[in-house]
Amino acid sequence: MVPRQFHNLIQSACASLCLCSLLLFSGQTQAFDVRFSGYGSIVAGTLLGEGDQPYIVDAVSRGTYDDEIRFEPESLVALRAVADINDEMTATVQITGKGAEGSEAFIEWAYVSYQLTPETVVNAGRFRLPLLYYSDFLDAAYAYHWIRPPPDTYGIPVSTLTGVNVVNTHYFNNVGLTTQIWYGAETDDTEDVVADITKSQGINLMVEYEWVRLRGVYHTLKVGIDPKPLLVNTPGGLIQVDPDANYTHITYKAAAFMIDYESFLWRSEYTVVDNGEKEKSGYVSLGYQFGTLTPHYTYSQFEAVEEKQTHTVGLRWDFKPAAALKFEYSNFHYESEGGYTPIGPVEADEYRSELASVALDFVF
Amino acid sequence: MFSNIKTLLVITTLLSFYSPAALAENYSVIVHPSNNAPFDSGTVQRIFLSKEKTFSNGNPAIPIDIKPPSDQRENFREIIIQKSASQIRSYWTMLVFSGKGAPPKEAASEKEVADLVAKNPNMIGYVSSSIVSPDVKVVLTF
Repeated sequence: MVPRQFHNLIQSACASLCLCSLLLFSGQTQAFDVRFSGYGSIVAGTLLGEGDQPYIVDAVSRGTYDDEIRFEPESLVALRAVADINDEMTATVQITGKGAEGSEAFIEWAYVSYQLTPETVVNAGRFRLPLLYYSDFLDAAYAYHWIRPPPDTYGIPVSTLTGVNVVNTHYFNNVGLTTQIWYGAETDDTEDVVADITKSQGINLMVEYEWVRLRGVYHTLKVGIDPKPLLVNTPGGLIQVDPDANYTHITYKAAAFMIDYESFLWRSEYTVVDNGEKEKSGYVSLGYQFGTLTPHYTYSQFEAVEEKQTHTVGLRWDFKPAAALKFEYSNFHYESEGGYTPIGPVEADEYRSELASVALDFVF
Repeated sequence: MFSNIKTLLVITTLLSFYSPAALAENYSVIVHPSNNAPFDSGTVQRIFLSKEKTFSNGNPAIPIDIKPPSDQRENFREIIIQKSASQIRSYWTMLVFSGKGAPPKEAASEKEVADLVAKNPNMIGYVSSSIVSPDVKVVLTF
């Protein structure tokens, strides 16, 4: 779902609030330090078969590849500004522009951080939902080896949350435990529906020892889908139909197991989403770093009313500092017996498709 | 005969500067003299990767890097951090853009690191062993 006017208003308000508190406090302190950073990706991709079913590669922006070479579906740039409010607090704003959303810049993060203790931070505002391992830095592609983390698992339609989160990291001898909890709400206004998300709450735990990381997450939310009034043509003329809103609870449970042993990397996650129906997905990815080249192979799977299996091979080339070139080929199989998904009804279908893509990821 | 021995002595002395024994342990990880926490290579690595945020005595740990290009920084990365330059950059990208951390502040030179560490009980840095003075405490050499 894509943020629209009502949403933009809330974001602008949050950002203005951050900037205002910044200016208020800056009057009292000597000078404040604003640190800028950012990242970007220029991605080109195409389906290899002519007339193939278009492939939605991003569930939030609805970026889609078809049988022509496209640059818009995944290209993006983001700018982040962090300013010190005082010794314990900072304000962060991150603005992202995505090709798939017509390059309209939107405020993705706008929050204030309070360092409660050296190991605990409280954040309030708008931030990316830290649902799966890569969720809260999904667009910062320079951070990982693929062009995109498997869309079968990362096809979550909502990526942000406005609320509060608390992060704590503690080491017991050589074992690290990071705990994060959050609570918030969000409204998404699209062309067809208004999705009212409330009681969005969750916890994730990550245990780290030497070269292994294990992560688990549990997240629930209540969502009211209110379809917008429609004008329907009837023998008696145009009438307005106002469908009722319906409310559901959605639960996310996921586990991740990651290894970084010398030049070898292993990434794997398994997710179960319960929205009335159970959707299960997961992936395993292996890679090996030979100097500046990291070849990798990934198998990912999605099981619900629709079934998808994807094999991906790729290569990451760290050809320059802070810039990586990536080449990737995905072969996926889609099968469905027909039925209803949260997005709408699907027909029975079966097909195989191939996606080739190239990306330049950078940070600054 | 004496001139031969003299030449031999000169050559041996010159060679000793290049022996592996003379090059090892050229760098020191330093903290404020009041810092009594125990350190090993793993602890120092985790502090500089913003994983461990406190010393084992509970005080906040503030690591300080040297601005590149720097031999000390390069050696520290190779021996203590044990990640390639692109792996480190990917790591900080993940941490910075998920709002979970930031890389250590950078000092202009090792002299500045030594000055800062001598004045701040919570700082930890790395310098060439040759510039270590009694104003700082060495907790690890590499």
